[in-house]
Amino acid sequence: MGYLDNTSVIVDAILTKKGRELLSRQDGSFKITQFALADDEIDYTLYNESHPNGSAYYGEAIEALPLIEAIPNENNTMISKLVTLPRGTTKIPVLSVQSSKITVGRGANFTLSPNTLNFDSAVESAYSFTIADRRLISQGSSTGGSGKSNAPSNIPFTGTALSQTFLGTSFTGTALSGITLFGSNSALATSIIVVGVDTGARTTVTLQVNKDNNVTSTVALSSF
Amino acid sequence: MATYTQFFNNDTVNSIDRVFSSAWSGNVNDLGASHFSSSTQYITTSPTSSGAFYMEIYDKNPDSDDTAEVQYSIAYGSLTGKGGMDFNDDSGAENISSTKAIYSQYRNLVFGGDETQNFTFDGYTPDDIYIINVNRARYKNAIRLGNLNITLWASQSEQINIQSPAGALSHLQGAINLTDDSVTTSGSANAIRAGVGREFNLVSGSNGIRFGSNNTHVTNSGSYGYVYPDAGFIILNADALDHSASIAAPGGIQLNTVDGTLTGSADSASRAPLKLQNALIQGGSFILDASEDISSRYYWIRVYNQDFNYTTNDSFTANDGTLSFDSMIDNPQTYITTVGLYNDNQDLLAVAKLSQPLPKNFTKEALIKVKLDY
Repeated sequence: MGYLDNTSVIVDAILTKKGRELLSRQDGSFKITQFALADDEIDYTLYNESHPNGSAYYGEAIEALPLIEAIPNENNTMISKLVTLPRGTTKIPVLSVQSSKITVGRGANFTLSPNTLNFDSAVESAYSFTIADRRLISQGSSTGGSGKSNAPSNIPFTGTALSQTFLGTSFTGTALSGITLFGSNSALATSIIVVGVDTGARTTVTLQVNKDNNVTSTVALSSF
Repeated sequence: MATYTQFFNNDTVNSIDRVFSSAWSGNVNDLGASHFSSSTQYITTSPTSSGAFYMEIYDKNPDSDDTAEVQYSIAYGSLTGKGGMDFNDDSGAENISSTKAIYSQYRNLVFGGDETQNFTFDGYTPDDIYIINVNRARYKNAIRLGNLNITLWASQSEQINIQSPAGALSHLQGAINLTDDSVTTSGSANAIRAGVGREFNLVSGSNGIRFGSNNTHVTNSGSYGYVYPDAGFIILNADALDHSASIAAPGGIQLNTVDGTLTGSADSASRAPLKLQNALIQGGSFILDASEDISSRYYWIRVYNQDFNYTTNDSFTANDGTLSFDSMIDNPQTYITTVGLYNDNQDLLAVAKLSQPLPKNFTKEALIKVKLDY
């Protein structure tokens, strides 16, 4: 991976793995309808309010930063999104879930119902739940979210790790039931990336599926 | 409050751009004398081996360099099946050889299955043709017209023959420079063939400009051949290449394509593609450009002054979401580095990176053009 040439303003767009998958489906799911902005790579601790040359130079270290090229894995980019909030906001919305890790056995169900803190509106209109490696679940569904929910659907088989996104206020998944994917491993893990559709607030939950079927209790992770 | 912003109709536009590049691997413009074949591929002792049909040409020696890539192939076709091994001498299969199969294959491609048609060059119909078939990955969508330049030089023995008694060997003696005639004809093709698209003449000259006033420079042998830019191959008239390269009767390169007595027999002596390969090596120049049409969609990202002035970046806030800098409560300052393009299901389909962080606050607006190539 190289650094982008910053001697000219170039916007280099590439398809993500997910984009390529949906493009190959040719079922209309590859249709770009909206955009979001992010400030990945920016460390705001470099913002220097004590700069001797004045406020115009507070962001000098950030603005001179050379950026790396786009990463095609949709799970590793657009991490910190820019959001539109009223001027004078003192707190940025953050997501809360009961635990940052779910551990289940094969075939077990689990539910995620996040909540948004520091949010003036009553509820977030929806959350996106992105399973980074969808091979670890056999079925998923989401509810709530004013018409954005996804009915229960079986996850299509893929030989490699691909993501799957569900929209709603609550997500229920069923861990995979077969043992083939485990190989000699006693457990497999992936990330579930939860993002508030209105606030862009994001959190990551680790999903661990144990090969040992003794751990089959249904786990419910709800908001505080 | 919003994180995702919908595109409107006037925020996107489609465009198709034609891009040209050097065809050979590594963006090399001129293949020069680097025309290598594989000893394991080019085997003519079996009528069903791939080498009996064509010879793959690499940019490096494939027998010793793992990075060698196929640039093009040379095939030889004979109307009567000369210069190749018969598949079977049993009744009904006599004189059906790999070279006859090649001739029939390209006749079918160019003339759409009309077996009464043969390749005719300025009214002359030879028994034999050569085909230079450029690898698809090299020419992409089409061979760029007006840029094709091939130099063929006579065989070593012929070069000796044409030396003047006391003079040094001259590159001009026995060499022919071939190009398409697209500039001379102002881009007008001979014909549009149903199976292979446009057909241009392969003529003596350079950079698409024909030398002289007609296509034929070889007495009683017809013109040099045809270029099919959309299909990525060139057909050469073997008889024109076989013609004398002498100063007294110039025009060919004395390629000595095939001995007529070899009809229907094993072709250990002929190896016609090898002769053209050697002529290319001796010529020392094969320039080809690729042409590619890239479909792009442009997205206009309109960032208004009141939008995107806060961030969920962990370094922007404390753990509970409180802003890290007091000055940012009324005058927040963010930096755009990445643009994500989504579908309605919030799937991230494409991502674009800016070349440097773009400051954003309540006093600034931005218009970012994102180009997505397909």
